[in-house]
Amino acid sequence: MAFNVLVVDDSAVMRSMIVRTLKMSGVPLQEIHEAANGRDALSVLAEHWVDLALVDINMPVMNGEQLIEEVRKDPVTRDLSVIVVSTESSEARIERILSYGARFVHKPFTAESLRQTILGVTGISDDQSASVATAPGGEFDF
Amino acid sequence: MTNLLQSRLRQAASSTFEDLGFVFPEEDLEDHQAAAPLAWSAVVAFRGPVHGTLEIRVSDGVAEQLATNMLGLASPPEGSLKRDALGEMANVVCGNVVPALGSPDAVFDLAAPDVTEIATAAGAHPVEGVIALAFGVENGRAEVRLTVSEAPAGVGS
Repeated sequence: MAFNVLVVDDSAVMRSMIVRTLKMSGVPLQEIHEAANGRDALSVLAEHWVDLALVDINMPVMNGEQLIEEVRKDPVTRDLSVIVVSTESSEARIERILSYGARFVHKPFTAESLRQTILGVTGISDDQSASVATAPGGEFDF
Repeated sequence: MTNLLQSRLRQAASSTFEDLGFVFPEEDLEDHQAAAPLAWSAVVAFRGPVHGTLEIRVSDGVAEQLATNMLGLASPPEGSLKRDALGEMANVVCGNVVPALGSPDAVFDLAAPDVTEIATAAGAHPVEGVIALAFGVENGRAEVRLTVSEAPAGVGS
């Protein structure tokens, strides 16, 4: 199974860093979509099937927490796997995020810490990811 | 409290520059680093139990290096991505410093980074009333400044 992924962050540079980490994670990828805020992310979700979303919290227009609330309300998207990638440090807010069934990765992250969380959420083992990463035609930037 | 904030600011800035920007800040500046003009400023305003700003100022070469490293490029990207990279650095440092200003349950909202080019004269004069650190980075320098506009309740200085 190859995953369709949505990366939501108002920073184009951060989206690029997350996409590069995804590509080196060994997780088989099909489509990678990007959105700069929660509202744009909902538009992507309305038009494309997405298996995994990586979501920032502090964003203009609609923040990540509001996005996850909307995703969980919609029967089509409520089971979407979500990883929050954020500087957020408030225990109260992190608890709310976890209560939505999302995983949490704190910025600044190392590529390995994000990769391990992605593998955990997708259920891909290190061995499986290694075989994908070494498969001919793989696209890994570092 | 000032020492605690300074320590937290140093830790947040160091880990962000290293883990996100893939550069290694040094607190002992060499002469050529200290002389490098500060060219870019990224300010993140925060609101919560206390309000304030976190600012990162860097010389032009540092801004280019950060953007190049963060994007995994061989040469510096165009201007908007350079601004974006510096803004994200400020956002992450801010997010890691503000917990020291409130209880573990305190919620802080961070505004979008405001990234501007700064005049050499403005960059040369420190603003009063801030906790500031200076680092040598590659062939330039960086300053990180925390301004708190309301004192945390029940905390002495």
